[in-house]
Amino acid sequence: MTQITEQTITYRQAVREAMSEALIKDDRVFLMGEDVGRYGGCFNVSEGLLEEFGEERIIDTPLSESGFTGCGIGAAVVGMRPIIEIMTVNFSLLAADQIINTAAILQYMSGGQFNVPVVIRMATGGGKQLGAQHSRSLEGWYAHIPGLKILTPATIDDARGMLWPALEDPDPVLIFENTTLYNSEGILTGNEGEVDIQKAKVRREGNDVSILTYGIGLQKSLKAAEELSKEGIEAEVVDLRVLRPLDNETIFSSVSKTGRAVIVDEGWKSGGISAEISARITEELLYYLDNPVERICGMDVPAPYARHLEQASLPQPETIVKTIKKMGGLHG
Amino acid sequence: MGKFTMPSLGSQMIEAKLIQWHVKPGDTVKKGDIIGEIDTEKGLIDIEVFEDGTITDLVAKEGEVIPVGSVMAVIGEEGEADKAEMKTTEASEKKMQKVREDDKQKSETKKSIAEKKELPSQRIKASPLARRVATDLNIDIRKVEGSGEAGTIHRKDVEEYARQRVADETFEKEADMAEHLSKVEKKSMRQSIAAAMSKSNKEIPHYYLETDIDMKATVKWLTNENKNRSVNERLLPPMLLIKAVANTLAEVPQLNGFWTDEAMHIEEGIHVGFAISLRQGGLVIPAILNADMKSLDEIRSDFVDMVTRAREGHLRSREMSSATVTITSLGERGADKVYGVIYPPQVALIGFGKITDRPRAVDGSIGIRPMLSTVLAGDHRATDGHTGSRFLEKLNNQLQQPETL
Amino acid sequence: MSTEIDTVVSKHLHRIAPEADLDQLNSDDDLGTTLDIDSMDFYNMMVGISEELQIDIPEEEYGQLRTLKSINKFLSSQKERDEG
Repeated sequence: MTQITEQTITYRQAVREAMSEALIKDDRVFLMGEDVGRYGGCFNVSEGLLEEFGEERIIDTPLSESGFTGCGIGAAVVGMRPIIEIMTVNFSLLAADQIINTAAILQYMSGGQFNVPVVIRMATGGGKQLGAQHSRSLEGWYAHIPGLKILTPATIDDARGMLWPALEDPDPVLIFENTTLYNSEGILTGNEGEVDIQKAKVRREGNDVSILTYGIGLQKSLKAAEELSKEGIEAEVVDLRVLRPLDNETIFSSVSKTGRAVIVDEGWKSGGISAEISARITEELLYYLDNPVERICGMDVPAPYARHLEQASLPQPETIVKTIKKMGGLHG
Repeated sequence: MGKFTMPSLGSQMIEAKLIQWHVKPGDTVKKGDIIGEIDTEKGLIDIEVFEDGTITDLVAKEGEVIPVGSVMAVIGEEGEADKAEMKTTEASEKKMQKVREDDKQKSETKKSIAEKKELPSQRIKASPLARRVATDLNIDIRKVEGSGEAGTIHRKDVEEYARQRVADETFEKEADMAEHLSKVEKKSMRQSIAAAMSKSNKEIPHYYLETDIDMKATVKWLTNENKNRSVNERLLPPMLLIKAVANTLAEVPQLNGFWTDEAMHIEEGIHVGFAISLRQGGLVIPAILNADMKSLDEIRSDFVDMVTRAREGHLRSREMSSATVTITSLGERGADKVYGVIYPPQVALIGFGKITDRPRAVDGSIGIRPMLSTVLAGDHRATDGHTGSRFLEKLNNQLQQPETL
Repeated sequence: MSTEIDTVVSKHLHRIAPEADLDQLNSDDDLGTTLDIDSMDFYNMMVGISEELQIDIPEEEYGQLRTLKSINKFLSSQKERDEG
């Protein structure tokens, strides 16, 4: 990896730099999506890339998710390394057939003749009063599909570093970037070196309860952990980073230590990734649990438009704090 | 002469329950007398004798179910024994036995069926982790008190229980030790006291300083203070003396400590030992730890607790060996003054006598004041009269201002 | 009833001085000198009696309660007052 000096940048910049680096290092890499070129990207992520790399590497596509996603998959099959940008996860539903029925299973169905080394980046999440059709978090839903890898970078380092190994991966990788994170700032340490796309990471150590989360949930969980610390409850915050395949080892190691698990997930509660994690914990660690596994998730409603209702339907630090404080057996 | 058997009161009847006897052995009966009641399918029925005689034996017991034809009673002429009848009675007695046993079995089977139906209705609410920890620590989880919702037992509850159990076991061990020690001491207590006394006298060059402390202020304060206290919070003079001595030692620490290895070691903690006599004879000297840092109320409760346990033989060994200085008070026993003997390796002993009214010069005239004779015994190797006098002076000051204790 | 008071007093007295022969005791005997009971014993006994009979013993009375007679008299009058 190239040397990166410590600097404070935004998440958005981190992603941009990651793409920049990839475009420089590997000729097979190109970016395609709606408004990624002349407009600089709907969320400004690809600003300046068209000027730097030209029309053949930064491609503005027609308004047809199914079309350009299929196109990108095809390009990948014949040897390119496309980065497909789908504006938001909500629109990816129009490309669902391409992703799920082709990209995910082509290698399997072709008996190994074809693999699909495609990377699909999507913005995800709600909380911005964009209404029910534009506020979903479907990363957990995609994590249900065998054949896909699901990444959810939550930190600057991960936003900067997860793209390259995703591109190197011979199979389809979906990267979900929470829109609220784009503006967040942080220090790019570069100390991570080669960022892996397999393991979860403990972001904060603690002995009383394990908070398992990803994406925007990380910030909220860390905030909650700070609050809890004031009352003598030390929470361990685990950034899952990869929703498929889940890093069982890190999850189990944390929960067996603390005896308590709380999953924070913006996706809807019923049938979400939180349920999958909860089931795994119970299967593996029943005799280490001092309390039932708690899940703090998005409410099972279409995203409200009104601000206060939308906020109420999403996990918040206060909810996390409240839920944990109610767990029996804590000394705090 | 005859045996009275269970009558058959219908072709279907096989047995009936004897509800009660109306006669007892020795009663004279005539033909037709009603001697008891039985309960048959047809209801309660009186049973009557068919001959004259005297009831000699009531074989059947009230409440028993008796088969038709079994002997229920024996009726004879007064005093007459009928051996042949006895044999038959024995046979029916055996029959009765079997009936009784059958009944017993029946009710037992009923009971066990009922028990089986009563499946575990009491499930203990405990987290899987708590259960595992309990198993690991060999604890019966049913004994643990749960702190969670609806009394759910969590890990920390089991751990707390384990800790408490260890503490209790330790306490029991200590209590046993103290009891053992006190038992041993009762026997050889006289000897060990004697030994300590001679050792003390032999090795320790004692000096004695005495003074009379005017206790008017203290007695007055005490009386007033106790007016506002219920009887179980009463302050007694010894409690004040302990606090006064402790406070004084904080200012004159040279008297608080041990003489060992040819040198004085002043102790930081002021643990005041108090000599307590036992009813069976003998002396124990438990200590109130850190008496200078405790409030009067804390000293009060420590003191009460210690005296009670001392007299019950439940002192803990560490309480018996911690004193850095000792107070002895024989005042109530009638002695005016006490010239005590220091308990090595301590270097001082304060002896208090009885509070007696004595004439004293007060403000130029003679007044009667309650005076307390105080004698300080000091180890001349560790301190001299100068230090001792300072101590007594300061002690006096403390007791002139009891409200500051 | 005064017999209840007698029972309670005897009980606590016996607790303090188990070896004492209470039958030999005259109601006017000073318990301290006769049974060798010191101030701590008195205290324990009074606390026990006070708690069991739910009668408080005020400071002014405390010092006077040295004989069975005075103790009984005080407790009876207190009880009558409470019940009255």
